[in-house]
Amino acid sequence: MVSSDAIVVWLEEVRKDDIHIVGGKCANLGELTAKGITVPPGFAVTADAFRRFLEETKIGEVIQKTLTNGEGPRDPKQYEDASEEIRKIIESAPMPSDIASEVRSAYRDLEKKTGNPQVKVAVRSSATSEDLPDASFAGQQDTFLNVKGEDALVHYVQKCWSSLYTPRAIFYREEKGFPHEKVLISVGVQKMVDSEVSGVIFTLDPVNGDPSKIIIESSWGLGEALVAGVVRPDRFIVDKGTLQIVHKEIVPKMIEHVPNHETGLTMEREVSAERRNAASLGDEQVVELARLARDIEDHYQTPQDVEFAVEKTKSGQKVYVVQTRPETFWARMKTPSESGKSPVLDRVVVVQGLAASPGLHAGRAKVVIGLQDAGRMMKDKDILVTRMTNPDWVPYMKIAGAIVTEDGGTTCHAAIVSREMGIPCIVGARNATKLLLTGKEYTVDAKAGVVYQGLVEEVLKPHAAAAQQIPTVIPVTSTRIYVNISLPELAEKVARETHADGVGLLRAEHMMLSVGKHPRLLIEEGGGQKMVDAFAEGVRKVATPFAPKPVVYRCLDFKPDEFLGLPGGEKYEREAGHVGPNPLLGFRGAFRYVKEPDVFRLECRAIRKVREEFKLTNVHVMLPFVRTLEDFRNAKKIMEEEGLKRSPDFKLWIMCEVPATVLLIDKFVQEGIDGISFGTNDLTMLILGIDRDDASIQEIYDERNLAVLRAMSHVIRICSEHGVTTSICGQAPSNYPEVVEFLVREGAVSMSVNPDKVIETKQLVAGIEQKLILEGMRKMRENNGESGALQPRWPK
Amino acid sequence: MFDEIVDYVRENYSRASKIIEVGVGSRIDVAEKIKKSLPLAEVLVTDKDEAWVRQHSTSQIRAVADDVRFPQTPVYQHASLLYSIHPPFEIVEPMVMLARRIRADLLVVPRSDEQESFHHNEWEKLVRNGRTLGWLRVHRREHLS
Repeated sequence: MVSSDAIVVWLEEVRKDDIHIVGGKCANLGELTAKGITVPPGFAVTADAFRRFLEETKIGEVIQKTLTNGEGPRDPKQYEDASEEIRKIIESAPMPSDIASEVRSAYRDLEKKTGNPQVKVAVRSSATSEDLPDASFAGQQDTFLNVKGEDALVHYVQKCWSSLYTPRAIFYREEKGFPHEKVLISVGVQKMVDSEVSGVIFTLDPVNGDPSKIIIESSWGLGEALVAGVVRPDRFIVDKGTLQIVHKEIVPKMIEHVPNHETGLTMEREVSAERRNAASLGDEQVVELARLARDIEDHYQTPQDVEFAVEKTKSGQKVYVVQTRPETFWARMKTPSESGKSPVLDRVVVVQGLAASPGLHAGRAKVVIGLQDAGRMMKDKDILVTRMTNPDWVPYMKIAGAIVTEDGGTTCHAAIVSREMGIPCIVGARNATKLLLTGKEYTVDAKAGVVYQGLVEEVLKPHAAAAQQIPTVIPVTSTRIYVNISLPELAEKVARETHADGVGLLRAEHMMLSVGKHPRLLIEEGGGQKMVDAFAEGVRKVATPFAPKPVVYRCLDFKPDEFLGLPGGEKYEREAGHVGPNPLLGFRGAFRYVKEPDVFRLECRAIRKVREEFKLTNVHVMLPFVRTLEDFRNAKKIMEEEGLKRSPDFKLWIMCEVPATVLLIDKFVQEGIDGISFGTNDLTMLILGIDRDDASIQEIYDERNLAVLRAMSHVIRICSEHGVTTSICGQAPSNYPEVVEFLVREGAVSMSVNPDKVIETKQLVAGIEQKLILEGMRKMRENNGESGALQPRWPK
Repeated sequence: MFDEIVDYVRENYSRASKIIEVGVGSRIDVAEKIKKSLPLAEVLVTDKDEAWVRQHSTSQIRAVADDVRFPQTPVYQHASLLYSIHPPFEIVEPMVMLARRIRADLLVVPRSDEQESFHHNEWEKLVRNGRTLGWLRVHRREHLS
């Protein structure tokens, strides 16, 4: 441990217990150095040096006076004024000579150590109090790069000190009631790494918390571009156990940050063409970095975020760890309870139920039947076992390590709240309050929906947990289950993971948002082809992974107010008089295509391009919000003029979401359609006469209203009689299982749901179809005069 | 347009230290208005498309290239509120995950035909002047107004 009144200490002398002297960042770097991990060489100017600076220059008193001037709540301007004044005082005051002398001397030693006269250094603040969430207090501009020479270093150390007094930091401390004089910072000074490549390593997957993976993100140049997020990095996923690379995503890297040797600052520049699409790390480096991160995790015994930099040297490349931080969110979720007891090797299942919020936890059970007992019994990280929770239970749910309830399904209170809080939860565990005993230890595996007796280490081990996941069985159904897609980039993943039978709704609106201009403005600027190409590319991205399964492209259905966000929107929507009092009932759908055929023709050309140039003939078209036969006829005529004519391999669907299409469905069939898809959101709105955006009447908005169901039943019957396919792409099947059963019973050919609902809907539909088959068999038997009950038949 | 979002954020997040618009796309005016209303808060915007981010580099608001499906956590740390206007629903779940991890509130203003994707038990409907403004998930425990 270093002396607490030291002015300068070298990183290799520092350990993690020195956080109050050198701050969290520097203490961490010292700890890594001791472990033999290469960090950029350097030293820390201690918090005590800053305290002495404040005392000896008497600046502390001036600061206090400045901050206590005025009374009552301050406006932002006052914080800014106070900040400006204080920072000026700190930066202009002469540093006490003994402190300055030690800082200068340490810099000269660093020159010798690195063999680099006028070595460039990074100067960073390092917060000393663990209560302070660093950046919010110390300010975010408190890192100075490429500092060169003794004089500059002294100047930037003072700048770092003054960054403790940004307006936001002052405001935040006052809000939280932290005394300003108690907050001190240390300053870290390290050799600048001239990074060829830099990046971040996560020792678990930050997206889903999978601890069996290591994620590495890297990009060209200095790390600040990556940390500040101005570039998208390459991404590597490594298996933590085998250190094999399991996934690589190399993205185009357009810019990099590099040192500007003239100004001493950093600058942004374009990445040279030959490196732009090249991987920023080789496979061997990826594996080496993963090994390094795994060592660091082992050392700290908790998952880490590690920043690294790769420097080109005469003998090759050198990897530096620039910073490492504990990952707290997922670590907190998965930590088993600490107990001195030896683990149980045999798994004994005590209760089973529905896995409502995934995760693993081991701890002591507290069987709490009444809320009045919860306060007395529940301790931090206990397993809360009860019949069912309600909002009054939330304070006890928050401290629970896991929750097990006897009642409820995946949408009950306990399930929703525990998912929200990230607490493992099993619901519907029958007799849990009788079989689990207060004070006993159990292991809750809320991935598998099982509670084991005792602490089952092999379950708590990440690899075991991953290995025991039961593969989901995806049943084959007669009713086709399609998927709704808005973002073409994700189609390949959705196709692979959901096994959907096709795309029942490919939305065009987000493609338009990606183009980034109102279509009329594009046309005015001569950029119509840009829209054709962008749309064709978007549709190609969806149609390719799904081929030969059908993809139903729904033409643009922006409501006029939704166009306003795009450049040109104000001119071509509001000023053109299209934004009426209720845009949902306004200038939209097939009517719009007829009134603005030039825009509609661009969409048609994009679809033709996909079908003819890309040879993706699994793409079909659906017209939304069709109000009249005449609109339909005219839109269809435009399509035909653009080469999109109905044929056995090109289908034309309409959305059935206006009562007129329900009442005239026979006429539309005669006019020539291949399919309809219910848009239950608008259909419900229009049948019940409810403005969907008017909050005061939402309580009667219900897609299960008998009038809506009758409308759908009528349309399905007429369409079935004429061989026209029927589907649904509204939210009703995703939200209400009873609507799914209704549609299957009525004979809908398909239904299209959001990606996260495809497998669930398939399983639900499979069950309903089996039930229908059994019901049909019973009916046949009853008609034949036999008992309806299905008895097993044994061979005679 | 979207002035009501600005009003809502100003009224409910006046003590926020950081507010982030996810998937900013071509327009940055909402974020700029929020910054003007709350000058002490750091307001930044993200988008996975670097072209939009570069386009916004002249704005006073910091624009960051990030794919919220694979978020660079340091960018979002200490945010009090994430919000998104007309996001494709595929990124809603990743936004929920991220907001939950960093304990920030999440406000989503969907396009009209994606309104019903927001399950009422999990989301709080945000109503202003009798109209549905968007959907909210609250993860923070402290009051920010």
